[in-house]
Amino acid sequence: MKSLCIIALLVCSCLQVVFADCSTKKTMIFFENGVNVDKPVAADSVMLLEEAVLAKISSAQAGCILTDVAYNTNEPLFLDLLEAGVQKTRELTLDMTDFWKQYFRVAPYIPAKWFGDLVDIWYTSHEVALNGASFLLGDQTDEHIAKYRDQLKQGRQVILVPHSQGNFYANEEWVRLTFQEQDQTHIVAVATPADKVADGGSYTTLTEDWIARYFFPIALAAETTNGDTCLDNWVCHSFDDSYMRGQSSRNEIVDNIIALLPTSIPPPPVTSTLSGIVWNLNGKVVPGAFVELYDTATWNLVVSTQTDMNGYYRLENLQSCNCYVSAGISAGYGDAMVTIPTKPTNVTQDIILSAVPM
Amino acid sequence: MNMNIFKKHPSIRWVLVLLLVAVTGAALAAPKRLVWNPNQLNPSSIAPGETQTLTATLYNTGPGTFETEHIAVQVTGAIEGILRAEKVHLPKQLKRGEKIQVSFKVTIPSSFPMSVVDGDIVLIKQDDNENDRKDEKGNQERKDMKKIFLSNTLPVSLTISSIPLPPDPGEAGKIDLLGIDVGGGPNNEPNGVRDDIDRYIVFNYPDSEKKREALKQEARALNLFLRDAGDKVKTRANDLADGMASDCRYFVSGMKSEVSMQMGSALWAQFLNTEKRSRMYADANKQLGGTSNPRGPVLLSEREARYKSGCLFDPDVLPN
Repeated sequence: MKSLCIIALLVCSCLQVVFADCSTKKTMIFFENGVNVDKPVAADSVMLLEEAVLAKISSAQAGCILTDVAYNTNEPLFLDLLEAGVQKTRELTLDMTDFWKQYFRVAPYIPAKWFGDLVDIWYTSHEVALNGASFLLGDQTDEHIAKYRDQLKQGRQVILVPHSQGNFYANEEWVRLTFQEQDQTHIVAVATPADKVADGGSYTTLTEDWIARYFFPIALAAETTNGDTCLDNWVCHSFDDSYMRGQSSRNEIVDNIIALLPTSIPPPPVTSTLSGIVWNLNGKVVPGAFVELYDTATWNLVVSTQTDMNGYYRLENLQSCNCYVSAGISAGYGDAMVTIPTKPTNVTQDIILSAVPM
Repeated sequence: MNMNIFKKHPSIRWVLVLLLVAVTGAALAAPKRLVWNPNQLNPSSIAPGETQTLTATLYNTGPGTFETEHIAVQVTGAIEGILRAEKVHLPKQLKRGEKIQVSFKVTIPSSFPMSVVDGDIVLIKQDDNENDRKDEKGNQERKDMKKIFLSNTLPVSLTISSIPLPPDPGEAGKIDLLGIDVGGGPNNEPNGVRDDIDRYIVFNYPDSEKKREALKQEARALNLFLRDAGDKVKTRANDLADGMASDCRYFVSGMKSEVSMQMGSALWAQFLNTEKRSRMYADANKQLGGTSNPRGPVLLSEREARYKSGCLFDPDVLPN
């Protein structure tokens, strides 16, 4: 019986190795931007998407997923907006920095009426081009398809995450793939202005996304809501500030992506995490604090870490225990009792230091 | 004067009054005979606890000789108290075309906060009697004294910063596409970053050297972006520098995209402060349609190392 158990354990370990080794079946996620998104912003959107995906997968799965951007310029449309912005800033004797602060929504972001009007006029004047899907730049789709094919040739599956106008590109690109390639290429549509997702895949459109609703009457119906997390009508269409910030839409998009991951990718491990923020008495986060977790059954140190620059700590792969967590820095100390349950759980526990560190 | 003339022609009286007003106005508005050179003092930054001497030259632009008796240097604005004129040994007369150098000592208290302090310097002539007037108890009275402004105003802008900074280039920094770069390096030498951006970065991130270095790296990459906007091949090559910079910014933001995006977008808004720069930026983006991450895909399990490797400096050796 004992030897049977050992064999079973060994088999399990081997399977774990097979699961963790995903070199033959990795997934490449391409974010495909919409209009009025410049390259650095598109690159930042990818990072945001990565964080959202990472929050929902295991570290083993993270070893099987790659990300990239398939960038679209849609430049004549953007140049029109910029020229309108130049005229408007001249008229209002503003600086171009004022235009860009609105465009990039630089904190502290206060939506300016003049900029909102500018965007509304811009959308109205470009409605035909946008709505008719006539705005596709052929050379861009060619370059994108070449990249998807390169990934497919490496045995990877491809997931396209297009936002807004990027959906027209993604649909067009998917149609141009061979049947075999289509089989390994999926679309997770976001704020799509199109009337379909080319591969019949999932989509997320917010009911509060005024642009999607008003300017694209043919678009797939909006079925998701974040409540009132977006700042105004225009921002509600934003991938970063609306779709990824709002919990419902973010979860839905990420779940749609995870549902497409190959089944050979292992499920999340049956362990828990403990995370939280270390604060001082002034209510400020404490970076660099040493955080230690002890099992109260043995008072052995289980694991330790340090808070990051935002005072955040995270301890992973924890087994069930009644534990004692402490945090300290030269001039402050704090602790708490925590229970790590038997079911995998993300336990959160903030710690307040008893003295104010210098 | 025969007063009958006013009775005969009453309007002459008003003509004379208007003439008097016009002459007085013209005299007040006339260019000053003593002119400062340079026409503003805008030195590199001065650190708290530091003392520095600034100099400016006064020219007598004429006409005629200038009597220098009872003249004084008046300092006004926020610089009052930290800037004072060194004892000026003036010749009794300053002939037309002659000049004198005036030195100003700037002393910054060690607790002075990082800031820009502005003010004006002007040469005035004071009425001695007014100056010496005392009240009943024998104290010096602080009454508004009769002052005659003898020179044009010399605007002064002092940047107080323990991190070396170049002077504010102001509007001059907006003329050329790539702006002005005279300082910002470790010894305030040119560092490939526009001076206005150097100042923006230091004033907004005084407590994080890592963030400052990451944003300077990004500013250099953005310079290339603007410079080569018309060239597709070069712009695509420059995309690598920009990709590395944004990766680095993300890393020094503690791998928090919200923090990183705000840092980036605030920098870009500052960077694209003219129509020309904005248009060139849009042109550069136009060249990038169809591209992907210039550094290649990111493996989620290796993000930290990947983003860190975007830094062209070693973040680990920087203290904060």
